[in-house]
Amino acid sequence: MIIILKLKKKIDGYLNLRELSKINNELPSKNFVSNILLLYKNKLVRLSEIFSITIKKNPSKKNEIFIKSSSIFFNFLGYRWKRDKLTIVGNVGSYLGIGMTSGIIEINGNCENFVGASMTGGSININGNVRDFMGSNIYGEKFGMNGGEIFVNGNVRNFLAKSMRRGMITIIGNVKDYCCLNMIAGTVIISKKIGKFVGFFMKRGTLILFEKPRSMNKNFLITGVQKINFYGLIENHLREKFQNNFLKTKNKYFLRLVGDRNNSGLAEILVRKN
Amino acid sequence: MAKNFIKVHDTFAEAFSMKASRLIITAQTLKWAMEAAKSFTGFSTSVIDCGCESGIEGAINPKETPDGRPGISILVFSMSSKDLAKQILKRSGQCVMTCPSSALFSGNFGEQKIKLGSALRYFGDGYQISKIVGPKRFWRIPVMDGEFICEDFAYEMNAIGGGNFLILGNSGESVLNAAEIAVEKMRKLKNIILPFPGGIVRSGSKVGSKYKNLIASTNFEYCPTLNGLVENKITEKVKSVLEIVIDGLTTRDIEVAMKVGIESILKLGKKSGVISISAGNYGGKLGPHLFYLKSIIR
Repeated sequence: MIIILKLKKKIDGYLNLRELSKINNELPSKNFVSNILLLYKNKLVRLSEIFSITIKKNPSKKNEIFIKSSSIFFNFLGYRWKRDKLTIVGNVGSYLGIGMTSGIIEINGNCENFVGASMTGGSININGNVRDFMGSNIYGEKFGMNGGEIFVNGNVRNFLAKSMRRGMITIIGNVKDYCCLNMIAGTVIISKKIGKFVGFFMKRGTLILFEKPRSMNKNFLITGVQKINFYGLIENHLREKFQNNFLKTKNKYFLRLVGDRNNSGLAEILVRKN
Repeated sequence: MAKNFIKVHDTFAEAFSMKASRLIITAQTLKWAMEAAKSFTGFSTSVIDCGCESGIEGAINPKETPDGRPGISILVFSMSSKDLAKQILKRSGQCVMTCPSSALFSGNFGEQKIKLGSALRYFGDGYQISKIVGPKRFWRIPVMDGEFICEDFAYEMNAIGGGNFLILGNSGESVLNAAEIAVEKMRKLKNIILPFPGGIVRSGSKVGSKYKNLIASTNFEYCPTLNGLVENKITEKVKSVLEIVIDGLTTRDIEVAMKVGIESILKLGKKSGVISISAGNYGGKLGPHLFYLKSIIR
């Protein structure tokens, strides 16, 4: 089914869209979608009270949900998302796609905090900027992102991939401080500038940087400049996924640093040689 | 039936079901990918005593390989899933991982997994790195020239082995020349391999032997030197017989390969010295796949 949700009224307070994920694995009727309960300004409201709903038949078994004119008050979108595709035009709030297991979430706008936190599969593609704790662990969880893929065509702020355990994050933009803090495994690629405190307490995993950081973690050992053929796999994967040569480089030579030695870590930071 | 004065016998080739897998070897240059592929496919002409049959399917454009480097596609065939897995793992470890700048990937997808990187990773002695890119997991194993990149698993698929045809001619040179022309044309096809040296077999075999321990022995029916000595299938004019064996992924792939090969020989005509085309079979008792020459070249 194709489900199109359009805002009926202006949203000016906290809106919790966690229950929208009930659409997953269903062939939802208009009645079912209308009666999904949302939390708006601490009151339970029906989805039909906030959105006008249009449902069309889709030959695919997977549902496609479109949300138009969203705002930063839209929290918990794609909570434990499965199988289906969620497309959003507009900014979204915090906790986008947390605990997501499969499916696709596409955002044409900016996002707040905790995007893809503790997700285990699926793909989040963002055409905009993201704030803090992307791919990190949510409060009370030991591990951060545990699988899947996040692609951001924009900038990301602090604490990117904190305690990340598996999966891949690609940033076509700048990243601020505390990137890959306490990272356990996984891959993070950053195409532009990165802030301070990079890779502190990293255990395993790979951080690929296209620009040299202003300050480098001294607990990382320099193993020299090496040709990393593995990078070709990432290039090809991004090309196939987006039909675009994001991050394509003829130069596969990277300065390889291994650490964090304070944490007996074998993580690597690869800095592209220009 | 005859075309261009070359007779095509009214017989069939008998083939049997096999298990197969496609692997992609990449390297810094095509030369080194080819070296690794040749090494991998060495000593794998026949399942009779090599454990598997394998061959080079073709070169792959860097744009089509998983890591964007020049690559070679190889096909490996075996009689059982167990043998296939064993041979692929051994050959990957000893022939591909050892080759400078090489990387190894699966070229097909299936439900039955064959261990590649998931077993070879232990060579990294704890310094190996697992990476998930898209739906697949890869292993980066540190080696002396950098890293050996290897996909986690290869995958098994059903296939057919033993498609064949025989070229009968009036001299060794003429038959070899015709066989070479056929092989050249057939090697351009996808989904098939010609596992024998240069794609050509001179020691075609029959099942069993007068010696108890041998499971196969010379196919005396086509040996010119035994003409008159045993009941054979060749005339006095035939002085040499060569066989082209084809392993393919589907019956259609083998049919097409046989058609291309046979027609390229028929085009040569009587002057080539080729007298007739035949095929090897065991009376239809061994394999479920029968390829009738007449229907193939019709």
